[in-house]
Amino acid sequence: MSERLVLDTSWKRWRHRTDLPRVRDERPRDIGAWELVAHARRAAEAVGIEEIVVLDTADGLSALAVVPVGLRATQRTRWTVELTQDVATPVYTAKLSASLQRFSAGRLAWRIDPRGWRGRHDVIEEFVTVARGVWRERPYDFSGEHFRVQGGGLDSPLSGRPLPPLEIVVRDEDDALLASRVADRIAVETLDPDSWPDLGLPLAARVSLASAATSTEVERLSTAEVVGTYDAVAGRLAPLSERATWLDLDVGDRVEEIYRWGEHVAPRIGALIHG
Amino acid sequence: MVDVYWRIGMHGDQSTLRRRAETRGDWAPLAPGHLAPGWGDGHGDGRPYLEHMADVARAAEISGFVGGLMPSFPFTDDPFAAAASLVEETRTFRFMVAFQPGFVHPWGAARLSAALQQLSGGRLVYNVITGGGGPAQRWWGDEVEHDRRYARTAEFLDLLRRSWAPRPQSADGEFYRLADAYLPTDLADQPFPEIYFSGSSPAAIAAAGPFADYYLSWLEPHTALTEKFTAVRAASQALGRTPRFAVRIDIVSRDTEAEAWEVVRDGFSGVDLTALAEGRDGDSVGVARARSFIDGPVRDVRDLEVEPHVWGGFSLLRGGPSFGLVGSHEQVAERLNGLVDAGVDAFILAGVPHLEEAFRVGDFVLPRLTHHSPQGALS
Repeated sequence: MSERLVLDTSWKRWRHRTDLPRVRDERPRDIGAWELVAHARRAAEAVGIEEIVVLDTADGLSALAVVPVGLRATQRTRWTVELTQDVATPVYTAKLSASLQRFSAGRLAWRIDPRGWRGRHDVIEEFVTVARGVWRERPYDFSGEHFRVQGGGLDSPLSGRPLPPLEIVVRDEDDALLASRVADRIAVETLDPDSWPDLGLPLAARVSLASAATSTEVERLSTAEVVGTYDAVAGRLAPLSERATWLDLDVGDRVEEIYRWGEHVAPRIGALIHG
Repeated sequence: MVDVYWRIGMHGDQSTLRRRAETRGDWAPLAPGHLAPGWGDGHGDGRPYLEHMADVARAAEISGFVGGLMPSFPFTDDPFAAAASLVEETRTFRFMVAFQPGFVHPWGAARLSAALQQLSGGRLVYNVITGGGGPAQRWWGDEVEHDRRYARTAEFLDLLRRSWAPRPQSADGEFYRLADAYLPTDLADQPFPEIYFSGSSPAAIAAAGPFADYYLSWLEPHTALTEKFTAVRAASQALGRTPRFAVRIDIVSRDTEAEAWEVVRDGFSGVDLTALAEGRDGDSVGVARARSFIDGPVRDVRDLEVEPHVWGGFSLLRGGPSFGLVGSHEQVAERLNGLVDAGVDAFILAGVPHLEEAFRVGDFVLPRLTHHSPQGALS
């Protein structure tokens, strides 16, 4: 089991400069989300997290803006971009992704959360079919309910790169059915393995880390479902490795949690798993 | 002041205009002497073509260009992906991203653009194109016919502007639907990108009216260009807007006129003139117009010179539009000054190879763009 960092950039920290009445403050007016993205990326690299998942939330930065910048700023980190419904056609998504695969030596992955598609599993399935179709075949023709392509298909040198692996966020049986049709891997948002679908696909389980930086109990690390000392948290999470390929760490806007995780929790989990 | 952009080759580059053979990028097989991607120890060194785009952008930036156009076609790398990748490697360079409204959602475009505006300090510029029709349009998954594509472009730009706001906006259009679209305050505060609008048909000019900051045209003979500008001006003034004009121009500029024509003549001697009749499978009015300016049989390179230094054979020597300027640095600058005097506010210039020519044009042509051009420069 390894960790991935989940970035939901709808964070508030630094997005509006706090007044510092007695302090010379020369920060740019709109210092904010991008600075946090850079911090998070550097922290992930520092602690050995090899993949960053960028969510596409209306209150945050567009994932399609964050991921190209991240791919360029890193040499080995893999980046997963969440694709939502109101962004681009499948052909444009495939073409843009093909360029990112070329620029990054194939470090891009796709994520689809049915919530970002108003639950329209039929649209998602057709979207994925077309995006993969133009990636794999030329000429490619498709005539569906939502999309049509005639004589399509990426040509060399855009063609021939590995398709970005696709993960589907699974919350219910409909999501699981969709995932069984199109997913290369799945993401779940509970830490209860009994609730996880058994699709025979690699699985990522999301854990929210949110210890307050102002807390005096700096030795404690809390999560949405796990609160306790570093040992207790590690003890709670390590058994998940029996079924989870990844732990998806969501630290909100507290990027310093990434360092705390890397220094204190990750080694304890490693020790528990590997003895 | 005039905004002068350069062009970033999004599908490789040639090392010379004298031979139509791509040596930069992986659109042609990698071979010794091909620089980007690099060739080391007898093998490709794995550098992506993006590295060369970065070099061209930096060359243009330090040579005095305000930014660069990043075109978009089925066979090119994607300009949004490339612009986002290169923002942090440039300081003042503006990324003019070409895109077709049919392929992105207005709110998605707003969210992507505002984020890039915040990261870049407002260096994103739009080149809104509406597509040349034919098989290329269907390749993109787009079956909307010519005039309705422009109606879609107008609706897209309207909804894009409306969703660039902190309060949720909803709309049911003919082509797009907005449901509570908005931007977070810090992103809604970002400057809306300038719009360079392309299109030569009456439908295009009508669609451009309410939205275009710059009406962008390929270089055409002087009379045709001024007629087009007059039509755009009339359409815009009816809407209470004063349009600005930009012209996309390829350049062969050398110390002497003879040297410049030698480059073009060299390239011309090796081309198949049937290419002059190619590209008829779309519905682009711009392409049809360009072809109409060339009269009579073409046997010599100068048969394509429709006005002094205005040469209509560039599409024979490299991919892209037909017309460009050929001459000494002084002559090329004089034509450009003449266009400014005729009301042009911005240029998108290009030359092959783009990296070396960015330096050359920056060194020898841009300094000659002055406020005092000779009378009759366009005659």
